[in-house]
Amino acid sequence: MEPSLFARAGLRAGEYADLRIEQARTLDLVWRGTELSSANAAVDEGCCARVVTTRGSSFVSSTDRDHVGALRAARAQITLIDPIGPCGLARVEPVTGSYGTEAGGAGEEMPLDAKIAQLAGFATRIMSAHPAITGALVYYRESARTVTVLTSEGGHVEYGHRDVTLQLTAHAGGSGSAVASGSVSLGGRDESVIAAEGLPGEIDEACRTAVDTLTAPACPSGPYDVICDGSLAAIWAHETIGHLAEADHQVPGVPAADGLRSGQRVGPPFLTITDGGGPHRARGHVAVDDEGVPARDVDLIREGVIGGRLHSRTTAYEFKEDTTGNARAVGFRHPPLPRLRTTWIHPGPHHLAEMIAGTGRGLLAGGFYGGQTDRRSFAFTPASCRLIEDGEVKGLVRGAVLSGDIRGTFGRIDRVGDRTWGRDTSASCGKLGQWPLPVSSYAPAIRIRGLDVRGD
Amino acid sequence: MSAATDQHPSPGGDLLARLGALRHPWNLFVLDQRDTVAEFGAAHIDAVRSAGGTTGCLRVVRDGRTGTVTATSLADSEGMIATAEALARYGPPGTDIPTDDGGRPADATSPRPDDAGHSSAPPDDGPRDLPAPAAQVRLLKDRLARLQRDTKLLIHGTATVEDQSVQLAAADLPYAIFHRRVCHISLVVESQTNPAAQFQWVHWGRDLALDADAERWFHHVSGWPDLPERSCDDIGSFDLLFAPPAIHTLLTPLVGALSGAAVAEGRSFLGDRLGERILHPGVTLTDDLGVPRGGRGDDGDGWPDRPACDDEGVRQAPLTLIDRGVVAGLYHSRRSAAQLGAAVTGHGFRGTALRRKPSQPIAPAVSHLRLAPGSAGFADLISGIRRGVLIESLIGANQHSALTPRVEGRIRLGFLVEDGQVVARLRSQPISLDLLTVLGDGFVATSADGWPAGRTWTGRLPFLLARACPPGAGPGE
Repeated sequence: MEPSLFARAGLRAGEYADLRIEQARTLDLVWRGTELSSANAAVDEGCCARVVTTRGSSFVSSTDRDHVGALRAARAQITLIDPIGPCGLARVEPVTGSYGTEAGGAGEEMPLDAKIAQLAGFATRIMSAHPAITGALVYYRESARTVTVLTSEGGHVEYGHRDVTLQLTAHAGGSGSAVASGSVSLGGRDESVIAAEGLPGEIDEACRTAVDTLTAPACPSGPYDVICDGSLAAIWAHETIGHLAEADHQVPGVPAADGLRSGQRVGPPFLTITDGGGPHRARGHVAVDDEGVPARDVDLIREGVIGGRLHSRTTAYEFKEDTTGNARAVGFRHPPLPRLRTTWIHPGPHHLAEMIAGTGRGLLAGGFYGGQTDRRSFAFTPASCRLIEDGEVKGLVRGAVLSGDIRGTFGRIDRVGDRTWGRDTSASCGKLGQWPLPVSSYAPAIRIRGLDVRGD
Repeated sequence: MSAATDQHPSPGGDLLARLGALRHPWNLFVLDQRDTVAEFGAAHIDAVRSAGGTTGCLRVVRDGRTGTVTATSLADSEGMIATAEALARYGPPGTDIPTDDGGRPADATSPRPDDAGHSSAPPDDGPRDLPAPAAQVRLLKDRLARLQRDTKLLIHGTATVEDQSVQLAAADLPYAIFHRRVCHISLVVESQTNPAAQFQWVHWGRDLALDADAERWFHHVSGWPDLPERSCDDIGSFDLLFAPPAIHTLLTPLVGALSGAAVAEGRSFLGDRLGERILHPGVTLTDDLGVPRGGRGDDGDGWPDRPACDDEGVRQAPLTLIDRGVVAGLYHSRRSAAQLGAAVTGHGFRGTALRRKPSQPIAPAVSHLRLAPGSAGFADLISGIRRGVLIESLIGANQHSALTPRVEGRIRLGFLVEDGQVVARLRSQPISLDLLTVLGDGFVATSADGWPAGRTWTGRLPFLLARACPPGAGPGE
């Protein structure tokens, strides 16, 4: 089938094309307070074609099923591109095979009414937790995606991916007064996310955090030694070195943002951060990427030294490096870009108790509420923050925003914990309009010296 | 009412026939989108991508509850209806499709058929003869290349031409179709000698055009990236001049707090402050919906045409949100209006008013926000600053949504101003602002010129000058 497909599209010798055919089924459920405010099921089917010639790269997507038409349109569009230099793709051996095509259908394992009853129970639990709780947000999303990638080089891969996320947020206060929140964020590959053991207890803890934060003192601004728990450290690694390592954020022959370059020491010898295909259970698991390239592990920082880049075939060609299997697209409407997959900080030699005991004035920051990075600096809001004074954890403080320049922060990490937090959350990755991309981030606690903290 | 055309056929005849036989309320939203995106690197077209497709969103109300299904193929009409009805067993209350005793929409602003069965919505003249996207992209490329040559700045970004057809049908509404073209440019303009200095610029319009104000801005700033870098340890004592991208960040919590949904769900810091003065009398914020079809405003090429109604069939009209510092109105979807016992305002959209996303539930969204401009240009505002900071853009500053008026993050790109002159680049640093203070006691003036900013909400925004505030009163530390 494949040879005639590309031939019928008019592909010439020396030109490359690939066709990606996808179907995704999604269920979104949203509670606000105790009311189910939105229940939406979606079936999204379509294809996309990419043509790469020496002139450049062209991409066409469509909900039509005219695969040859999409390829022809992509080829015709190439004439719009300004040829300013050779364009190509890194060589790969064409891969064929099926990788976990058990995507199944959204909701087929747990009956819908049981699922809704369970989630509604969580919303009710939040609203009835404490008189000061004034709002609850429960976001549940499950998706099942099947993908087929065909290449003009003879590649043919199929894979399936299920993704389930659950975000529960309790709000305290409100109606014109200050509002505080506490949240639980979960993710995984099936509905066991909903039935996670200990989840009711975590919900109760989130409600307590919301209520206690409401009356907590404001965090004074200034420099702090910040211990980030595993979940926050994981996000920090993803947002900082993770995105910096995406090769389309760099220019061949030019040092990356802040002058980071491979082989440069930026952190302590016990700091190693890797991005890879990850375990099968991980949201960010990738066996083969959306160009049909098998995933391999890449050390982004190895023993404190800047490591490799994360590539698509295009960037691997530009940098004259090997492919890494990082080309991912959030759906058929988008071309693949170098994206993160499963990223983790390797466990280090330090105990959390020792980190805390050795901190004179600091913060114990847990979880991730929100944040942003522009690959030079970052600004993150932890889900909760507690003061550390003279080696002891004190009460909650509110309004802390952790910020700094990325490059300088690596060198301020002086402790890496010995126990990895290895649970998926509902956090998904966004880049150039492609959101939500399932990713995984795992890490032990880390301590960062002298981090700038803005308080309320 | 426009008849369906060959290019935009009415959604599957079988689907409409089956829906017509239902005895409970339903509505159908079908979006046909065709877009072309050109990616620019140093004013050259690096890559091109295009997308085409149709997505339908069916919502049914059964026994007072709503179920919604979205699909890219409307062929399986029986399956779509069955799925929507199954979800409606558990779904939210169907308060957003109100009907009167006669089973017709009670909202007088919805399009209604006249005696001839035609919709009373403004007549849609069908798809217009529009220039091909490729031609528009080439014209833009030439202008960007010229600007790059003149300013010696490097221009990167994307240009999008999107042709939309929105088709609405409901149990008690005639079938209606609206067409428009939405053009969007998003640029990052950087110095060749100092790539860390990156200016942002956004355009929304009916065609791809460089705004005259923006061209003037980039000529003005072309030398700034080469200035020395300095820190500012006491930013609270400096006047602050916010450029449109920074104003967008500053206003985002306020825009979120003025959403009827946020107020109804207790996640707005404005709470029940309707009618209360919260900002300086010089601050007026209006959703004027942009330039209507066929007209050209003072925006140059004009804002994308606005449809006659929102995605719920409610007619749109300009809405003043902040009137001379007073909270004058909230923007609503049908649901949020029903929750607060308020009148609908025609702001119910799937996605944003400009970029629809059929898979997203209906939520209140503004179309074209305008912060009332002043009389002086941005250059005049700069020249009047004795000691200040010009903030081009902020990062990480909208993490609390509409829950608080505090904006905390970092200055992504800023410049120090002394005695009316930009003298240095500001080293990236944290900043904490209270927008009620900046737009309240701290407010000085807005500029006459400006341009659009943002994607999640947008509108033509001016520069804004705020005076330094004493410690403890904000803005700053």
